[in-house]
Amino acid sequence: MENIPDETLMAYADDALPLDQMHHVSALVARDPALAARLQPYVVTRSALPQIFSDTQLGPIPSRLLDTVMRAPIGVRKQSAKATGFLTSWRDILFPETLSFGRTVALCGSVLAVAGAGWIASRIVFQSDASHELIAAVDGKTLARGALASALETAPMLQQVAGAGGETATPVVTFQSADGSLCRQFEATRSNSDVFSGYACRDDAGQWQVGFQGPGPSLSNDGATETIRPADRQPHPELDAAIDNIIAGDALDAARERALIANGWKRNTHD
Amino acid sequence: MTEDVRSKMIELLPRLRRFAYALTRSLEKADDLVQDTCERALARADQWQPGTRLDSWMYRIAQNIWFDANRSAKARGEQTSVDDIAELEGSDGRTVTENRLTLASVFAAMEKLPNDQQILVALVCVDGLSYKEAADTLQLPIGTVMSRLSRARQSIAAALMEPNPAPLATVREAHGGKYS
Repeated sequence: MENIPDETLMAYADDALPLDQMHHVSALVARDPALAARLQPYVVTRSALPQIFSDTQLGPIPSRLLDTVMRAPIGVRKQSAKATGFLTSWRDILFPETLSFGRTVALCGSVLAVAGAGWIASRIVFQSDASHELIAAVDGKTLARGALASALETAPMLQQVAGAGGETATPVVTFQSADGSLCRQFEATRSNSDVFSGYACRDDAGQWQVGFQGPGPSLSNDGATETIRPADRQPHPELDAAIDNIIAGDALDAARERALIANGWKRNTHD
Repeated sequence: MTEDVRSKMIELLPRLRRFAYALTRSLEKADDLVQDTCERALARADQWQPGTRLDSWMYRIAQNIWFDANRSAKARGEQTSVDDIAELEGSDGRTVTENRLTLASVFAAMEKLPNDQQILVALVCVDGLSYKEAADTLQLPIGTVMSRLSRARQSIAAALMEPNPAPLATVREAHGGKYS
């Protein structure tokens, strides 16, 4: 009986042998039960391991990883090696001032490109703001905050962003206003389950100013606030009227919206 | 090029997480490892040559951090536990329930492997690198890669195929009663 090394059997199980050797090993395995038994461990591990350590088990990429990649300083080494291994607080390494806002946003665009490839589940957990507030009055302006600001800035339409306190925000549609601002309609749920909706427009400083907010669409009471599809939405005449007042042209399609997000909400010259 | 590194890293995150999960068998520790890997890689981004493989470079960084952490954990007498499997229940109930026995056996078997074999299982069986790519990543001869990997897979398969599953799995089976 021909002696086949374990490594060759493993390569056979992994489809990693040249074709002629594949045929040769295949024929040997077919007529030698002992060889087939030796092959078994490689076949079993090849099929079981990718399932066990799959993305399904891992769940969506946590925002702390995205934050680290987007904001950890480049080329700045720590003074001393960490003694305790991989358990540092991500907040220790955030230096937001080292990265311009536009760059951060551009990188958020690549996050979304990844999301588009199906690698991130449709729900991103936003953990960076401990206050859980979604809207705040600042200098006489009503500004989006926390998960709402994050959703408006980075999420494609109908992708929900969740805050650490259970609050959520979902952009519904993106449009241009008559004065040239870019605006997004949204729906949101506060951490106390209070639902509201409205629109906000991005100002020159990159802040989302809320132009209208009112009670949200009365969602069906089965707790199905996880995803909001246009078809599920109840009529909201006041919000619709408010948007009709300022909208210029039609709502933007998904491709235009994606391009704007990826480009930090800067329009291309031909727009 | 520096900001480009960040975009490329984000594209790598899913693969890095699978790799880290295979090494740590804990969802939280896997993300901690990936986070520290990204942080260290960005700090040393000047060492990475654009045009060479970012994934290999980052896998080497992750491997080093993991080796160091393992050493200090062993020095402190810590043990990673298959109890971490319980964490999985929230992610996908159905799949996890069906796979729990398999998970317990595989986690226990992986735990017993030498570190250099665990790395190869993570690179080839989980991430899907070829033997040649794994050899290049770890800067080892391909023959070494294949013999180590072969031994590792025999150990894992033995655990998977043994008639009596790992003790933890037995306990859970008795409690759940839905695995038979």
